[in-house]
Order: sequence, then C-alpha cells, then structure tokens
Amino acid sequence: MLKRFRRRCHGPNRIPHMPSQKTILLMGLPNVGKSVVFSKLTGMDVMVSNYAGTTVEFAEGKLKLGDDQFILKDVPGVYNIEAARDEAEKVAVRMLQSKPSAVICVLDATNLESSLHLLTQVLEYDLPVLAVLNKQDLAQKRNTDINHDYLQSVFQIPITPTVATTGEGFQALLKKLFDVVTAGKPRRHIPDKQDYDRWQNIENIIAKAVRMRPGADSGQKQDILIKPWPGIPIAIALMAVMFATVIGLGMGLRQFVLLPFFRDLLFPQLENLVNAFIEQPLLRNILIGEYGFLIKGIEWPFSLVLPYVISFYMVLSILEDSGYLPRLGILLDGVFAKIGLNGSCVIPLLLGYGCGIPAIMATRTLPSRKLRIIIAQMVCFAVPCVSQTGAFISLLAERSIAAVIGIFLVSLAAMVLIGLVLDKVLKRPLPHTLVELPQLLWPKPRTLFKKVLMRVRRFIVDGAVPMIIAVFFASLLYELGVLKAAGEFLSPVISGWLNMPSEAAVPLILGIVRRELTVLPLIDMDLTSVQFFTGAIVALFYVPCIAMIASLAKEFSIKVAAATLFATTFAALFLGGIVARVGHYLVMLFS
Amino acid sequence: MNTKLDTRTVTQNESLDFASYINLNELTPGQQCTVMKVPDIAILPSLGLRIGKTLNMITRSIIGGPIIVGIDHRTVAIDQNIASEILVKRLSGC
Ligand SMILES: Nc1nc2c(ncn2[C@@H]2O[C@H](COP(=O)(O)OP(=O)(O)OP(=O)(O)O)[C@@H](O)[C@H]2O)c(=O)[nH]1
Ligand SMILES: [Mg+2]
Repeated sequence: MLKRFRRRCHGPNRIPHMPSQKTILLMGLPNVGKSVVFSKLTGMDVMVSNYAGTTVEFAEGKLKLGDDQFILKDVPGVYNIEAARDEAEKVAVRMLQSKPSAVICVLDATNLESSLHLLTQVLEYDLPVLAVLNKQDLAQKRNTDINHDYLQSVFQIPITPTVATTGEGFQALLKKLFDVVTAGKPRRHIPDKQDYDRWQNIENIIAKAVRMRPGADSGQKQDILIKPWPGIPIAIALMAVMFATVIGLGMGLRQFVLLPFFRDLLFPQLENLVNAFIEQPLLRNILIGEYGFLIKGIEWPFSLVLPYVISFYMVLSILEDSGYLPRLGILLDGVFAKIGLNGSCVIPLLLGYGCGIPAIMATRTLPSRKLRIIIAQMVCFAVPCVSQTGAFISLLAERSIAAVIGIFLVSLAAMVLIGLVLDKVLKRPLPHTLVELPQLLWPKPRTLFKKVLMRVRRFIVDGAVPMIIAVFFASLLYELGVLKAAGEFLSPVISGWLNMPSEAAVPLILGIVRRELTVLPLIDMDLTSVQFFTGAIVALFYVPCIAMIASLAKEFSIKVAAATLFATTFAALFLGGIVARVGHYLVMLFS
Repeated sequence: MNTKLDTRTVTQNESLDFASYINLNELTPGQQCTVMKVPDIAILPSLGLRIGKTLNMITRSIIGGPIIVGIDHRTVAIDQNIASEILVKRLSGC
C-alpha cells in the first residue's frame, strides 16, 4: 500500500501540478491530547478542551522532518474505528482510509486499555505507525509505571512517552517520527479475529506492562460534582457566579477601560482630524456623522462587544479546561430528556452563547441528526451570541437590569418550546446517553490566557471586520438617503405592526449581516421602554447572521438553511408585534 | 438486541441462572460488582464495560438521568435503558 503511494508521488506517474502532499495523521481516543500534540508540532493554534469531542473537523498544519515537508492532520477522536458513532468520528475514519503516509497514534497513559485497542485497529490499516504515550504526568501522579519498551516489543512499533502540555518527550517523538516515515513498509500486524480475543490479549499485555507502585490509588475518588446532592446546588451556584462574572467583568472592562479610552482619547482626536482635513460635508458625515463609520465602526465592535467577548470566553474556557462541562451535562440529562435533548447538548448550547458557528459545528458530536437539528435551531432562534449579548446589555442595562434578565428568560422559554415542538415533529427516539467524564484538571492560567487570546483574535477577524464593513456601507447608504427610503418602504411592518419609528428599519437591514447589528443601531434612537424591549425581542429571534445561515447550509442542507431564514424572520416580526401590543396595554394599565 | 455471554467465568450451571444476577439499575451507590453480561453496543467495551470487569456504582441521577459508574480510573455515565441490559453480580461484602 505504502509502495503504491510512494510511486504515485515520486515515480514517473507523478502528477506535475500536485505538490507531494505527504500527510501524517494524528489518531487516538477522544480527549487524549491529540490537539495539544498538533499545536506543539505545527505551532498552530487549535481548540483544546478537557472533554471528548473538542475537535469536530480536521485541521492541517505543516511539519518539517529532515528535508521533507509533511502535512500533519489533527482529527476528532474515536473510540472504535469499526463503529464510528457520529459525524465527527466519521471524519477521523475517512481520514484514516485516505491512506496517509504515516499515523501518529496518541495513547492515553491513564487509559491504556482502550488506547491499545484503538491502536490495534489502526495497525490493521498497514501504515507506518508511531505511538505516543501521552499524559505521562497524570499516570505518574497515580503511581502507575508503564513499561513502554515491553509495549514496543509486543506491537513492533516505536512507542514514545510524552507530556504534551509541557512538551516533554517531543524531541524523542520527532526523532522517532522521522525514523518511521523514512523506514518504509511496516511489519504486517496480525490482528485477533474476534474483538473479544483482542480485549483478552490487551488485558494480558497490560498485566505485564503496567506496574502500580505502592500507594497507587486504585479506587475512585468520589465525585461530589456529579451526585445530585450536592452536585445540583453546586451547579446552580456555579452558573450564577459565572453569569454574574461575565456580565460584571464585561461591564467593568467597558466602563473603566475601553469607554474612557475611546470616548475621551481616541474619538475627539479622530473628529478633530476629520474636521481639519475633510471639507466635503457628505464625506465628513460618512466618516463621523450619524452612522459615522470611524466612530460607530470602532465603538460598536471594540467598546460595546469586545469586553463581553473577553469576559465570556474567560469563563467558558475555565469551564472547558476543568472538565466540568460533561458533568453539568449529566446533571441536566434527565431534564433535557423532557425537551427531546440529552446531556451532551450542553456543550454546543453553551458554545452558542459565544458564537453560533462553532455551536453548529459542535453538533457533529451529537449522536443523532434529530438532536443536531434541534440544537442548531435553538441556537439560530433563541441563543444570543456574545456580540448580541453585549449589544443587549448596552441597550437595556442602563435602563433596567430586569430587562436584560427578561430577554434571557424569553430566550430560555423559546428554547424549551423549540425543543418540545421539534421533538414531536421529528418523532425519532432519543439516543441513549453514554459518555465518559474526563478527569477534573485545574485550568492553567497560561493556557487560559492563550485560549482567550485566540478567541479574541478570531472575533476580530470574523466578527469585528465584517461589522466594520457593514457599518461603512450603512453610513454610506444613510447619508445617501437609501436607508430612509428603505425605512419608508418597510414602514407598514415597522410602524404599523411593531409600533417603532421608521428608522428602526436600519437594524433589520443590517441585522442580516451580523446578529448584534439588529440591536446596536437602536441604542442612539429616541425610544420608549416598550419600543426598546420590542426591538430587543425582534433582535433575539431575527435572522442569525449570514455566516450562520451558510454554516447551516454546509452542515445540513440548503433547505434547512432557507427554512431557518424564513422562520426566524417571521417569528421575530410576529413576536415583536405581540410584545409591542402587550407592552402598550400594560403601560396603559399602569399609568 | 444481541448479547454476548461470558463463556470464561460463567459455568454451565450458573449461566442458566441469570436470576442470581441483577441489572446495573438495581445497584445502590457505593456497591461494587462484576459485569456478567453487556448488550452489543460497539462503544461499551471501549468505555470499559466488558464481561469480567469490576464496576463501582457512584450515583444515579435525578429524573431518569443516567447511572454513573467507576471502572478502573474512569467515570462513565450510562443511560438507564442501557444499564437495565447490563447484568452484574454483586461483589461479596457489599
Ligand atoms: N496533564 C496533562 N494534560 C494533558 C496532556 N495532554 C493533553 N492534556 C489535556 O487533555 C485535554 C484534552 O486535550 P486535547 O488536545 O483537546 O485532546 P484531543 O485528543 O484533541 O481531544 P478531542 O479533540 O476531543 O478528540 C486538555 O485539557 C489538555 O490540556 C498531558 O500530557 N498531561
Ligand atoms: Mg482535539
């Protein structure tokens, strides 16, 4: 197999346009540390979290070994290659079947049994394999010694110990990897025919390879976080603290750091500069007028949204790295089952409060298409992304904190409703919950910092830049009078049904591009409380951003994407009108 | 659902006598048991749920949520429906 591959790449039949794409594939159980190994070897940043199913699609990076350039691929973890359970695991199996030049099989020193089982499955593909025995530090902490020389002699492949998070053992890893890719055809591995025999064999191997030093704790630490008591009160308290931290830290960052910087330092300078150099009033207005793109284009993404991006991802990263999230999922599993979900849905939903796109991607790890669709719809309709949350807070918090909480309660109610309805409509049975809970680890400040930085960078590239471009076009169209005309055209809906001034057409038009843009233009408008809340409700349910619609089309189908686009628009306007009427009635009643 | 019988530790006589086994749902937290029979779900062996393994029941969850067990050093949450198909034998002293 390898020979044939080599011939195609270097022999006379080599296709001239195709560079020699020699790939090395990282395989392993979920959560063994493949993505950490990938980052260390390629220098690229990829998501690393302490739960099974962090990586949901493959990532590629360059790796130089000797004089040869290789492409290293990080893929989702799999438990059993012969029975891939979900879309993410299927990605990994497809990659293995695509005949890479070599495989790095990452083994978990704290879970050797299942790791070796997966290794035997990988060996059946008859490719050059290097095994990496990762998480050595955690095995050491348990006073467990693994004789990797013995394992090498049994499996007849090089096996090298590492601690991926510190980079320990990576020099040896690189050296052995070089040997593996240059050595050529691997020795034929003769697998056990029956899976049962295979497990037997592995247990025998482990009995010889693993030595527990005295003091090795063989039992289980009782996990108070997963027992209903005190696990549930702890979960509720933790969530409340996290929510308060996100909001409090975000508001603090904005109030005391970003706002003074922009309002007092940067903007006056920018205005002076524009006033001094630009005479033409239209151009001047485009730059610093109503939707002045130098002002709003900077203020919106960087002073209104960025603080919450930072505070939210700090909190989320702590939850991710500690290994708490799957535990939260388990605590909620029974409740979730009532609305057609299971506990593993917690992770994509929480990611959705950051950004809808990773949330939709993360549904790949859910065990059925029905679950995937329900979660994707919840995220599209009712889960505000962090940008939109920041915008809501800016819009409502100064008037009343209760309104902010109100929006989140409406969002929660809508999620329950979506779950109940789709559960009935889609009619499939709920897949069984079957998850491994990762070991609890203390998040490391350095890793957290890097992770938040990575997400802030991503926000700037994928969030702030589109926002700035949208604001630029908005300011152009506003000054040219196009937005006003559009507002008049839409006025039957805006004024007639939603009881909003016609300028409220602006957020509806901009909101198609980005979710927070359904909210931000409202801030400077002169609205009543009912109108503010109406605007916020419309914004919550309105079209998720175009990028999310595109991601729905990619992950599901054009039909799902189109239906979501239509349904969200309709739901937003319909519910907005109802809120406007109920609000109007309530105001009359109490005044 | 197909189920595999343990041919290694279960003798002929005993294998007829499933009555002496209980399913995982019937364990109380803190009890230990040996797995005697598992349903044929591909991922179970990789989670450590195999015949002959020793389990440690940690807790059950509220409102029909999963059963949580410890196997070696791992913690695994198992749906009650699956748990009801996992037969176990209590270890003496529990
Ligand atoms: N202590 C310790 N932790 C490690 C080591 N390697 C990885 N981790 C941690 O293990 C967790 C999982 O790491 P990932 O790289 O996301 O694992 P993965 O194999 O890519 O996981 P999936 O993408 O979900 O399949 C993270 O919390 C890492 O920090 C190690 O050698 N020692
Ligand atoms: Mg990964």
